Amino acid sequence: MENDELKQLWSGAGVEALSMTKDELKSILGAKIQKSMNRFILITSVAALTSAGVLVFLLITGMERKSDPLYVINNLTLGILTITSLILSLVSWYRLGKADYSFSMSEMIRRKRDMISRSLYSPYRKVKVLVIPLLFVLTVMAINVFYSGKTYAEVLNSEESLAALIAGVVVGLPVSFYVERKLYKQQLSYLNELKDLYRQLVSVDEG
Amino acid sequence: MRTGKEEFLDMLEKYQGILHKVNMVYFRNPSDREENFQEMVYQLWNSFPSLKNKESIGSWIYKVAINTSITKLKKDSRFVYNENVPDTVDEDAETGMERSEKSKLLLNAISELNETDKAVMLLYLDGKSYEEISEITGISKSNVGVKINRAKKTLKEKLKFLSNGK
Repeated sequence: MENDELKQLWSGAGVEALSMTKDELKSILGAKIQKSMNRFILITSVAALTSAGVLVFLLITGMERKSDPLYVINNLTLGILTITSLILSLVSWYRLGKADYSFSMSEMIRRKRDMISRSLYSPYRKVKVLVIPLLFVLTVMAINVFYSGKTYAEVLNSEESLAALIAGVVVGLPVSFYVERKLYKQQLSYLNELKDLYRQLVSVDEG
Repeated sequence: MRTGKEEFLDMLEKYQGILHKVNMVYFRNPSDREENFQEMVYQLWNSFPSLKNKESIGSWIYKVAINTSITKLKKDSRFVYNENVPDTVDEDAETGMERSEKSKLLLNAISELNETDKAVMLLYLDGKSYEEISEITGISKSNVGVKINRAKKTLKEKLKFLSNGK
C-alpha cells in the first residue's frame, strides 16, 4: 500500500456528511455558552450565599457576645477562614475554566503537568488537612456557645463540650485525611498520565 | 457591520471538517462525539480573541481541537493507550456517511494508535507538512518524521490484517 493510498482513503472518511449549517453551529455555540453561564452563576451563587450566611451569623453572634473575647476570636478566625476558602476556591475554579487550549500539544501538556505538580507538592496541601477539622471545631463552638447561654471558657470546660470536641476531632481528622488522600491519588494518577503523554510526544523511542 | 460572533461562525462553518475529523479519531461513541464537538466549539470561541495570525487558522483549530479532546478523554477517565477497539465503527455514527469499507478500516486502525500518534497521523493524512505538524504538536521535525514512518507501517500492517480478516 502506497503512502498516497492512505491519504486517499482518509479523504474518503466522509466528514462532509457531518457538515453543519451556520445556524446549527450558532445554536450549538449558544447552548454551550448558556450552559457554562448557568453553571458559573449556580456555583458562584451557592458559594457566595453560603459564605454570606455564615459571615452574617458570625457577625451577629460575635456582636452579641462581644464581652467574650474567646468567642470573638473564634468567630473572627472562622470568618477569615471562610473568606479565604471562598476566594481560593473561586480563583482556582476560574483558572480551570480559563484554560487556554491554543498552545501546541506538548506545551499544553507541559503546563498542565507543571500545574498539577505544583499543587501536589505544595506545603499548603498539608495545611488543608488540618483546616477541615479546625473549621468543624470552630463552627461547632460558634453555634454551641451562642445557644448555650454560657461563655466560651465555660463551654470549653464542661465535660460534654470537651467530649463533643474530642469526638469531632477524632472523626473529622481521619475523614479529612481520607478525602485528602483520595484527591492526592487522583491527582497523582493524572500527573502520571500527563508525564506518559509528554514522554510519548518527546521521545522517538516510544511507539 | 459584521460582529465578532458572525466572523467566528463563518470561520467555524468553513473549517468544521477539522473538528469532525479530530472527533472521529478520538471518540467512538456518538454521545461522546456530540459532547466533544460542543466543547471544541466552545473552546475555540473562548480562544478566538487571542487568535492573532489569521493566516494559520487551520493550525490554530487543530491545536484547540486536539487539546480539548485529550483533556476530555482524561476527564472521562478513558485515557487508555493502545486500547482494543472493536473492528467496526459505531453504526449510529456512520449514519449519512458513505464511507468506503477501506476508509472505515483506516479509521479503526488509527483509533488503535496511542494519543500522540493519532494526532500526528491525523495531521499527516490531512496533508500538513512536517513543519506544521511540528508546530501543532510541539514535537521536533525529525521526531515527527520518525513517528509518521512508524505509524504508517503500523497502519499498513493493521489494514492488511483487517482486510484479510474481512
